[in-house]
Amino acid sequence: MRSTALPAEVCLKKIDLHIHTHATFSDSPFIFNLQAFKEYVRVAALDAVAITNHDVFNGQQYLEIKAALPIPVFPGIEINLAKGHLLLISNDADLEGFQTKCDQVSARIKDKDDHMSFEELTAIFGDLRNYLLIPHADKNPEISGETLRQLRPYISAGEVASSKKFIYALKNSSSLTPVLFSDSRIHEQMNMRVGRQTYIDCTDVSLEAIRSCLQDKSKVALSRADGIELMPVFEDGQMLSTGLNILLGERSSGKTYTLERIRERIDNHKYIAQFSLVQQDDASEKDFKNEVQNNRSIFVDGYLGGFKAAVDEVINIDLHANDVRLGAYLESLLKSATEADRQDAYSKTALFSESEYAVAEPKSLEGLIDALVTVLENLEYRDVIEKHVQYSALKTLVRELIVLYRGRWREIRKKRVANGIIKDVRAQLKMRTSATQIEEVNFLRFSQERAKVRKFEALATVMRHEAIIRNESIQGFRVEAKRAPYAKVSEIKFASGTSCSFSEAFKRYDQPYAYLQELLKIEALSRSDIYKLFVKITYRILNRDGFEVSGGERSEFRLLQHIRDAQNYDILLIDEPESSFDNLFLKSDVNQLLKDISLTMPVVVVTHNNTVGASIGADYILYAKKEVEDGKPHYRLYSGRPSDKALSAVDGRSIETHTVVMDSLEAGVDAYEHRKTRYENIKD
Amino acid sequence: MSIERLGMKILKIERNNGYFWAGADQYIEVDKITKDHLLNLINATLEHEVTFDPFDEQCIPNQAQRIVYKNILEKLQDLALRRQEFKDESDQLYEKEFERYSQPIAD
Repeated sequence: MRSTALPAEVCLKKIDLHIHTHATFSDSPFIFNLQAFKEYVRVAALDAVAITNHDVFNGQQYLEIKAALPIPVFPGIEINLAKGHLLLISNDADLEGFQTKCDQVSARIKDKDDHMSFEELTAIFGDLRNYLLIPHADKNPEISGETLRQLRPYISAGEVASSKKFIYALKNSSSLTPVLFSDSRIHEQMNMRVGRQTYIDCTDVSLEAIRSCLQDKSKVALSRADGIELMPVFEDGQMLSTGLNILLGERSSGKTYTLERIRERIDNHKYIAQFSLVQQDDASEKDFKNEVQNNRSIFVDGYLGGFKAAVDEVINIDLHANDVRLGAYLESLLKSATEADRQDAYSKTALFSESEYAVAEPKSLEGLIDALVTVLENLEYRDVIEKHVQYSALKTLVRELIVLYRGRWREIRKKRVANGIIKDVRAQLKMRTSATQIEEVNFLRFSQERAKVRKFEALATVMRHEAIIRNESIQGFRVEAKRAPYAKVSEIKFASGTSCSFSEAFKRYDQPYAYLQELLKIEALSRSDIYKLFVKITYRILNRDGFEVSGGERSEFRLLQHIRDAQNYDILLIDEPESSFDNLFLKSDVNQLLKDISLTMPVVVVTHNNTVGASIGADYILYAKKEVEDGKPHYRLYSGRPSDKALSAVDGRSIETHTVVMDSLEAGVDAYEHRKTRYENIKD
Repeated sequence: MSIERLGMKILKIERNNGYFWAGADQYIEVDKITKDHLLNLINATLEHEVTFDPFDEQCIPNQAQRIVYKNILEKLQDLALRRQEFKDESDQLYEKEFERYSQPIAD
């Protein structure tokens, strides 16, 4: 898996091309400190940096920084481009020209929500090949869609948000060359953000050399010696594996402290604390059920989405009012017929008996345009699309449809104006004539509404048939979601989350439309939540034997859930999983799961347990040890691969791997041998 | 039915009657106006410079015509004032998309 390490003889340079030295409307306030910048460059051992403030370039400050730092400093700017951010970095050959261009950006972007287009960018900067362009790729706010496509020929690399995303981009052939930068605000109290710089295989650090180097994915890495296998985590050079790490050590040896420090340095971490998964009492059973339910609310929203749309369609339909209006129409029609001799100047006016225009919004046309825009903006399947349709033809088609849409829109607005006049004139004429005016009626709308209600009733009836609507398997557990009709008033009340009375409504529960009308009478009920009161959705969590889970099994389930959730973070830290579980579960499920997830993100497991520690197949061992020197305690971290004979500390000390593993996981060699003998005796 | 002349009068009062323009050089009494006629007047008002005779009660003895003339006149006058707004609003629909896809292909 980790074959992408750079060869040892390469000449690596460490760069950070995303640094802020000036607080703008896009930053939290900070005061720039030159000394802190020098310190950062020294601690992180950087070979080149770029100054990239939001939509501004301060040439004078740049020159001061350049004079103070011992390494190349590139002038740059971070531009709000099409809802994303773009780093544009220049060489310092024409600083005045660059300043003028950046001033135009500042004049254009006045607020953090302002954005410029690709066309505006090229109008200001001219030939983009003269710059190093790095858009936010797997990092918010991201540049995507048409703008990314336009930028693509000029882009050298894509900035990612974490080491996890860096590794992902390296492995993914369709991703840009990833770069990970600190995005630091340089001030006195700044976090040094070690591990958020990129190594490039480049003999010199000119802008041209960096640009050409970034074209090649094999020339970027997260650490000097180990490519993407190891990444630096602390200022002293301490490494972590980008895969599975186990952190060993006796009690009070600094394990928790080490974990804390990692949490401080990696913002987007998932931390599972010791004992956090054990069910403590009955109250937590309720919490557990709520947690399961909440975790799945997205699924329920999705499942009921179609039904909600149906409810929204009929919620404003008043069939009773329609019937009344239809009756009035018929009555007025008959009456008018019998009064033919009573016509006067008012009733003879053409508009007196004119009906209004039926108007309908051009929704299908709108849908069509949106769909075509989606096709045009899609980058992921662009190759396939391009094989079958010509983009230029699609663009022409969209333009033509937009023209058509605007025409329809104008027609509708005009008809509305006409309807307004007809309505007013009719009303005024009616007041003056004794003749009966035929009531306005819209047969089309009436029929449509009736049909909608019928569909809704059919759908609501089907929804009330009991059924298992989802069976989700999670490592041997099964989460079963079931739909069923509400059996009691109290269930509806509970689902509504209100204290309203539903007894009247419940009497009509079997007639969905009538039930809806009753629900609408309950004023305190939010109309947007009414759809939830038609069908009850419940969950059961079943163990591998198909029975509802026990307390211990709940903890296991919760752990699996958390580990799954970790996919959304940049690192997973888990403190003594053995505190909540038995060995069988650890060995059969937890180990495999942690191993699997470590293929896509760094994982650190703190453990004393030999089932975890020895069987998990870690990529890297960290060993925390308290050593007393000159009567004072020293906390030291040793690390290395499991296959290494010895683990070493950053200060050069080392310790035998075998001893560490035996002491930490087996309570020492003697105890291990003793246990082994006893097991053998039992077996015999 | 198109308007050739600038400043064409589409509502006028003559010989104690209110008239509307019904295409070419034809004018019809306003009490005979139908919804399709009305739509044509709306079109004309939004797309061309048109004029109207002001409403004058004394000049239209027919009460029914008065009601129709006055009502239509008021609405069309209002519309004439909002002609540009109407156009802008319509042009703003899918404006970005329209502009973006009007550019030559960038590749």
